[in-house]
Amino acid sequence: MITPDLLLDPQLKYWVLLPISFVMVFIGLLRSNITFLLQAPPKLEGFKAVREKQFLRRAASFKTNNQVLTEEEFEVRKQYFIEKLNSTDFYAKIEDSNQDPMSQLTDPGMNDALMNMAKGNVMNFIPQTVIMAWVNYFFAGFVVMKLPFPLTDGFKSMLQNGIATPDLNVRYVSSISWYFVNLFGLRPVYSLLMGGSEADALMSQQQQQSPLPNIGGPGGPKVDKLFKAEAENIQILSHESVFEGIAERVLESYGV
Amino acid sequence: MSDITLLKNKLLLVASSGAFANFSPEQVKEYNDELEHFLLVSTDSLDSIELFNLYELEFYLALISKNDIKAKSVLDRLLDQFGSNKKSQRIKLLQSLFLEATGERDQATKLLEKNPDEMLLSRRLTTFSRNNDDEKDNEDYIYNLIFYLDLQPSDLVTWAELGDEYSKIGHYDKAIFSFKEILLQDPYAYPVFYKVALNYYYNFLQEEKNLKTERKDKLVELSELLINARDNALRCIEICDVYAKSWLLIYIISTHKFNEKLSKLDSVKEIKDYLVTNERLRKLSEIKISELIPEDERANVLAQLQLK
Repeated sequence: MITPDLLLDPQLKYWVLLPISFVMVFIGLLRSNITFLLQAPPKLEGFKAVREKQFLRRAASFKTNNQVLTEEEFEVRKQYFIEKLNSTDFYAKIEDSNQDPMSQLTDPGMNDALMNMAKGNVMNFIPQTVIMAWVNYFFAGFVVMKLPFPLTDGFKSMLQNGIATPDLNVRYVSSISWYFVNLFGLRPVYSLLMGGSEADALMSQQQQQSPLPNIGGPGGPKVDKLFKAEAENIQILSHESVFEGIAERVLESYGV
Repeated sequence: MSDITLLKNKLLLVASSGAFANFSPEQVKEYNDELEHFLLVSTDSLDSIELFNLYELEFYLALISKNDIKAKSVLDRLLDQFGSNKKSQRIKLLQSLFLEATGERDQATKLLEKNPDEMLLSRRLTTFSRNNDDEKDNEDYIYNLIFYLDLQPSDLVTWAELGDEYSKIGHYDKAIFSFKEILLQDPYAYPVFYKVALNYYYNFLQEEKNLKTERKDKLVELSELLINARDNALRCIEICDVYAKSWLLIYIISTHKFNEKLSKLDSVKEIKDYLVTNERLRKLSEIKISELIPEDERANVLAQLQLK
């Protein structure tokens, strides 16, 4: 059965469709600028924390690349790493194991990190909630546009959210659905407007600075656990050197 | 890509790789002019990170060409544009370099010492103890490098520096240890394998010189050094088979006259294996050397290796 087309008022385009899109782009830009301003300047990590991480990295690379060592070199380093990983020599700070777990909450470093996380989340949620409430309040139940291409019924729940018309053609889009489509689809627009490449470069620079887990940070693993685990891994390490039969290998590869 | 972008990429690569440290005076001048012109014309098309890197390059080139007036002006420009962040280690590093270049070493040291968390600056401070007057007297420098490595145990450049310093004063075993630290983090760094091989070889030459008796156990001990040198050189070849210096080292080892002494010891399995492959390696390395090194340079390179 061919259902007659629903006639849409062309004014809907100017008073609903475009305003929703504009408001979302505008608020998105505003949000990213405010987030940028709220961002705490990157803090310099204490040299002891860096030392701890770097030592762990050194131990980890010994674990993966020990084939470049000879048997004796391997044994010497293995003993060294096991000894050092089981001692507290490389800890950034030695924590009292009997410490009250609640006292961690008063740790200023912890608070800073939590505050930053909270700020990020707040900046994400508040604008979205406000726009969604605005769309829901003013344009509840609006059908705002008709897509120029046919779609299967599976898209009904996605495109016709908020209007109770089971038989309506899937090509019609409701206002709240248009909001969702914008929410997920505007990222490329933002990066175009804000000059994405520089932002990406900054982002990648920041990521490069901490390739290792955030030891001892909020939610991060505790340093003694990490060191002990690494020591156990090294304890059971078996060794095979690349120099084993290397002369034969090279000669063979040249067919000599 | 347009010419401007290509030029920009070239300059940025030179800035980030530090290749300018090995430039010849002509190259320094050429790059200086090129960079100056480029900055004059296309500063606006650069983003702030690129601009910083290029200013930094301009500063280094000015210092290398002993033009401290220009270095100062570049530094001022950097401070103007990026100085709002007083904490920047990179700017402080450049300031200290300038102070050092103009002879105000104490002030430079003061600037670098302020905050122990600023590792980039501590690293620079470490190099202050390098004694340029006498290459053999680098005890302080080594001490400082070790101190720094205790704080930054996986700083590969510092390990390499330490290895080179040990090698200079003949502590080849310690040099090998340092170079192996680099290999542990970067197991395909073939030039480092070559360096390890070379240090084993030097160690062998040192021990051979001090050899008083020809007792079997002493000879076996020495042969181990030679075998290690050969194996590391072979590993270098295995990764990059056009590394000519490594082929040369293999050739030198396989034709060394010490091998004749070893031939009396072929009851030891390792030595027997070594001697058997030696002859084949000699032939192979001869072929490869004639392929890779032009004839007129060959004698020169060989002499350099054997003189040490």
